[in-house]
Amino acid sequence: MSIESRRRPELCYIDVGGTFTDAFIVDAEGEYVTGKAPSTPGELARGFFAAIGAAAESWGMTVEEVLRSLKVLGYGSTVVLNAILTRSGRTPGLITTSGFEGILLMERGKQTWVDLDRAARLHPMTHRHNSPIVPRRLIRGVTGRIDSLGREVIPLYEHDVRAAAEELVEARVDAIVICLLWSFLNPSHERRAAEIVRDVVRERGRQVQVVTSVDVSPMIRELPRVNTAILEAYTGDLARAAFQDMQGRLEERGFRGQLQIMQSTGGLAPAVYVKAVETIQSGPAGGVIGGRYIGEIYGFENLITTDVGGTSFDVGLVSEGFINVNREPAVARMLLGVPMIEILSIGAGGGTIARIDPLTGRLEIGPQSAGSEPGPVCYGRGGTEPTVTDADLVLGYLDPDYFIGGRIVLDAGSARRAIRERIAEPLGMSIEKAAEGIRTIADAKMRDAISGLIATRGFDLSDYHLLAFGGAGPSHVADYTKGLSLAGTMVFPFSAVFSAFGAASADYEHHYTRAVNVIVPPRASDEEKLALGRRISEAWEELRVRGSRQMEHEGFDRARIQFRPLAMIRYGRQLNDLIVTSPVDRIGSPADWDRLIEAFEQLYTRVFAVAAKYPQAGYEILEVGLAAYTEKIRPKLRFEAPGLSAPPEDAAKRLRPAWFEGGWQETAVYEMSRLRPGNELSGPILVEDPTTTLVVPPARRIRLDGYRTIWLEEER
Amino acid sequence: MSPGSLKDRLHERDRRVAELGVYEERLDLKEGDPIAFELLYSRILQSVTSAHEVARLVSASPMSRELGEIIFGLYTPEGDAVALSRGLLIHIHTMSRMIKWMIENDYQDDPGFNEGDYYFNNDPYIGGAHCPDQMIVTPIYWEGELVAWAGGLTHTPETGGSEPGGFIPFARSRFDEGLFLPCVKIAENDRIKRDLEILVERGIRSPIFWLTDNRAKITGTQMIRQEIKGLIEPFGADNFGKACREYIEDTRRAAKRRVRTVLFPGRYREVGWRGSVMPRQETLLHGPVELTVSTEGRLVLDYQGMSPAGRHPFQGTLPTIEGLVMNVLIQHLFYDLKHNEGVLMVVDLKVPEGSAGNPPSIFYPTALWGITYGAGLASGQALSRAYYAQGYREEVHATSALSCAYTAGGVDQYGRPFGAHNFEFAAAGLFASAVADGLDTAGVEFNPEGEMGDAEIWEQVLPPVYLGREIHIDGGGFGKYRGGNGVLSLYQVWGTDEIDVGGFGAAPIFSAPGLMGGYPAGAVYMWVGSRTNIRQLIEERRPIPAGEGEDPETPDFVRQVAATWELVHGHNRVGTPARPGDLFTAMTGDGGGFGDPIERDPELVRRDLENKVTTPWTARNVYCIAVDPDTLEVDRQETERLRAARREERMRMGIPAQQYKARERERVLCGDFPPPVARMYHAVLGASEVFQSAFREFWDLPEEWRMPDPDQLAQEMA
Repeated sequence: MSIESRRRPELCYIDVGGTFTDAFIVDAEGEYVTGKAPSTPGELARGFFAAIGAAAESWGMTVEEVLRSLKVLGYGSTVVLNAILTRSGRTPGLITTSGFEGILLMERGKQTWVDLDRAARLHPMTHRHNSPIVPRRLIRGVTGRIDSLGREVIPLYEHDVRAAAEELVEARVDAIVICLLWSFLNPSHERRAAEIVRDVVRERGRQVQVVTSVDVSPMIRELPRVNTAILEAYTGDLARAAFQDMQGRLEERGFRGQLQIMQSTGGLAPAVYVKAVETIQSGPAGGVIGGRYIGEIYGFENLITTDVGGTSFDVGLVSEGFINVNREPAVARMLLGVPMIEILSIGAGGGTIARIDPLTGRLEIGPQSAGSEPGPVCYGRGGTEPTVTDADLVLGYLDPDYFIGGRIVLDAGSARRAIRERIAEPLGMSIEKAAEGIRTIADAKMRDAISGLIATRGFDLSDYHLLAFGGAGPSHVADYTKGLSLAGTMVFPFSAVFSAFGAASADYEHHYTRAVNVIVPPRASDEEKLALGRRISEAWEELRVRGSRQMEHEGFDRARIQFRPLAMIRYGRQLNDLIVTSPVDRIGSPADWDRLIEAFEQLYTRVFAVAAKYPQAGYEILEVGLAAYTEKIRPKLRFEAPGLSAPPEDAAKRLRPAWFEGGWQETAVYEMSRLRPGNELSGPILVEDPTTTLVVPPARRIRLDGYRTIWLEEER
Repeated sequence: MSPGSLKDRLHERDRRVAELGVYEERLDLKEGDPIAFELLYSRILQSVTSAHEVARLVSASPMSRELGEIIFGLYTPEGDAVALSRGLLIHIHTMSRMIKWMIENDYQDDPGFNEGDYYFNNDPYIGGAHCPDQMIVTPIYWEGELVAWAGGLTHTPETGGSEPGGFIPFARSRFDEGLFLPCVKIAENDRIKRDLEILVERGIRSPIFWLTDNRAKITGTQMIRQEIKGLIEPFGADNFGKACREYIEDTRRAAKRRVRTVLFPGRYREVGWRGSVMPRQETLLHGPVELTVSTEGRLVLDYQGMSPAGRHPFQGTLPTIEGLVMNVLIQHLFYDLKHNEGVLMVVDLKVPEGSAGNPPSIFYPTALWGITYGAGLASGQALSRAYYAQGYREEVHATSALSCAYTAGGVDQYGRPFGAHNFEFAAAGLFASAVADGLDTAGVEFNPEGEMGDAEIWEQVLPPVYLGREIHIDGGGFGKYRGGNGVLSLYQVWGTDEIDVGGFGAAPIFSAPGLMGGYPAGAVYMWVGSRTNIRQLIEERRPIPAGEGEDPETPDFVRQVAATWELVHGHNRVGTPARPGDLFTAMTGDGGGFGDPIERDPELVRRDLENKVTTPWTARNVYCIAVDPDTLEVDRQETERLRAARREERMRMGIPAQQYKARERERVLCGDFPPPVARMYHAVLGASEVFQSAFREFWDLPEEWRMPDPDQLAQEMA
């Protein structure tokens, strides 16, 4: 055992990606190491442990030594998403409101085009229906209706439910999903139906899971609700088995804690309690959480996270310290009713393909990607269409012998040939100009994604710091931030594993919602405010009790559990509400009520426009929510007082020709890990790391602060 | 920047385009730096797309928020579209017409254009299709000069017409249709004028939709304005203006190339139909089209022979037919180009004056714009034939569904006055193509991003509750590839004692024709059951119907519920008081089929049976497929026998085409037409000499032949 192995690792986070599995290990002092290993889709555990091993090796430890020492082990899991994408889940049946048995075939129309780009959306010949997860023969309708005010129109026909349950059990389903209209508002029919189904299951002596939509997705809109409940039934057992299996393997190798899963909303939760549908976006959430954590360290409330990977460019937002959440996400062409961290993803990554449109002669980038197999032309694995990475290589930004630390030797000749034949010659320009064009358009798409997301949320770019990470983020950040009036641009030495770092900083967190259906008349009296406020306070209290119970059950100290009350508010009869973080924990006076409404008005004005306000219509609060969370150990960024602005001599590697401002320039190359706090360098330079390359063009400069964060700035 | 008033500039623009046939002679910016040229366009496109995404969240109307019935655009100072968001594509050109109308009518002098002004229009004779199409445009200024316009349009579910819901099925004049505000300034200095809001609040049943839609459009156009100014700043206004003109020219050239590449030159004829069901005047409306594809890459669409305008709501304005045609072309031919004025420049439209596609005065109602829709769909079929002739089978398609729905007004379950229609028909049955079945419940011709909205959203807007919302069994036209099935919903009146229920759609004739042997989709209809025993059925826990079931002759609801049942052909029904417990249906319409049904792959029929969207009866009698109703296994041998027998039967019944034509000629000669058909031809032949001459020539009619007027005959007989 070496000196290094005296370290006491406390936290480890594993992020399983499509190509690589990343490990991020933090010790009791907040020091960290990272490890990377190829993902092993058929046998997750192999990549999982290999990544831990790679990280542990940096501290001279074995996997077992690390696992024995850990208090927290977090996991960004793709188990659920993969099961959905590969259609390899269980066999659920569905009981729904009579007359709605066709809901999964109808798909509200929208699911036939929801994931398409503009041209395909406008071209109906490309639209198609999904093959439903629950086939029509396993769907039964039952009579019974609740209305939009939660009133009973037709009582539940219990004999219908029993007959449906008997038929579905007979059909050997693994689970029975129950989703009835308006159940989120009045769950009595759905709950009674569940009781009857459970009775039937018991009587038949079968093991059939029963899933009610109100418990999985208590939100208005029946299609997203039923989809979400079905996915829970479809993947829940698989996810639990996979997590249990992993827990067992970890325990075999010395881990004594409880495996924690990253949820789509950005908090960790014990694997044994987490809902499968809450982990669909488990992986990508890490980057945004990391952004929030960096914001806390630096005292920034507004951050944009940008992750450039092999196939996509992902943008997330942290606004006023809160991560933006999408309450109506679409995954695998299914509309879902489960909140997820909002991540705008566009097809612009290293593997994105460039082509000339034969009709318009226009250079187009993506959204198609060469992926990791065959990958860009320069990988030499059979790719023939030029990609963004090929352009980066042709322009001299990437070292063909130092890509992924030299594990992949890039073939610059093939990349040049592909760009010449497919792009340069048709456009009548040089290879370098064509490669520059590929980069310019890809980077512009990224820039548009950032400014578009900010614009559509009504925010101001100058309030935001941008974080660039992902393997290809540092290579493109200078261009995709060009012209954006940001508060600052930050690049991290651990860019390639930033998502795992971010996830390692996550709190334990659960989100709860509850329907309240509060209609607020215009110019409400104090009595009305008090009466309506009481209903909201009661709902928050109910959620607080639920949150406390659950987190205590999960082993957390009650005294450390914190809560954030939320209200989903809109003007009267609007159909879209805004999630307002309430400035008050309960509404005990008309003034408390006014503070809540004022918070909504302020948010509304910022997101939309002053002219869009409409208080004359009154307000509606159909749902309230609560975030319950408790903190845990986090990785610390080590601070070192900035020293000299000149980098140490051994940081400079060599000169390499790189293409800037329309010509080749001999460009200084630096090793990222050897730069010290306080170092400042002016472009053009290239700063390399085994997993990424930071491209600093002319008129830009970099500066390393005490945390070794690289600030990309305009040349003074 | 060009000198002179906007009106001068508009006239100069018209002269230049007419003289040169191009929008911009040289593409200097594109040729100088093609990448920077595309980058600027992508920023412009993003500005209108972002506006589309954000604005819909402001509206209280489910049509804007849920169904995407909203579109934004950027226009040149003269009013030509430069870039358009996704959404309600039929309105590609309507805001352009509005801007040009204001310029032509000297709005620049009075009431004047200023930064922060917002002009509203819902007059379809200026721009739009009917009263619910409501647009707002705002000028964008740079250094004191008007450099562009931003515009937004929504389709609003209530207009204050003689009946609720905006679609007024029996409008006899413009004055039945609701509140028109033709190019009215509704906001100044980015603030909405309160007095005009009060006009709306007191003028229509559900002002919330109209007023929040306005807020949505103002929000979106403000976003565009801000973004465009940000683009102009580094680029300069002159360069920006030049780039906008080049984008239009770039599209014109690309569109021309596309036509030359994928369409076979020639003349293609199709006919669209609609029906007018005005009391005692039931007639069909005729919407023929002749598409000429030139070898140079131009398209001419000639609607000679269209029925004349009349005192019914089934006609459209010139902007409507223009929009419909452009909508068809964008979806099926130019889907990947820059969508702007350049698309229009490769097309010549000829719509006869005085026809139902170009009415003689603004007083003709256009609430249902029926025959223009029919003619627009026929244009799509003609395009399909040109594709087919060139060998692009995958683009060949039959026709999509007609739009129809129920309307209601009164007091809602929250105690508020309301008026609206259910717009779930935005996800009706789509056309079959030459390579695949039409999609069920997936789209509609005027907006490719079909979306019906969740039932829970509609039940917030309209008090009736759904008893069922199902795929219309066998709704789509039969064929080798069947048409997409639409939605058939069954409702129970509930939650209010004060409600009128009506419906709109078409006459009892098919509206979505099939192609190349495919069947048309069936005609739509509406059932209304009053004085039902539903309460008793519930108390006794007896079956409650959820839909029509497998037998449309005797629907489940008619079998299961005792009531006074009324079958409304054509779906058009005047708003009629209803009581809690009454039941009614609404259909969205279905798509036309493609090819011979007995060539249909039995596996597709088996799949449809499994999904319960066809019946064993149809499988055997239409598709000639022998299938076990329990196991759904197909008996291949028996299927071959059934199909062979059907072919033999056809051979027995068939007659040579010339013989058929001669037989039908005899019927024409003696005026043997059903009255609605006779009314249609009588009107069309009287209105169009060109069509009359072609008709006579085709049927080889003697000089003295006259189309009988069935109403005159009836009067004489009386």
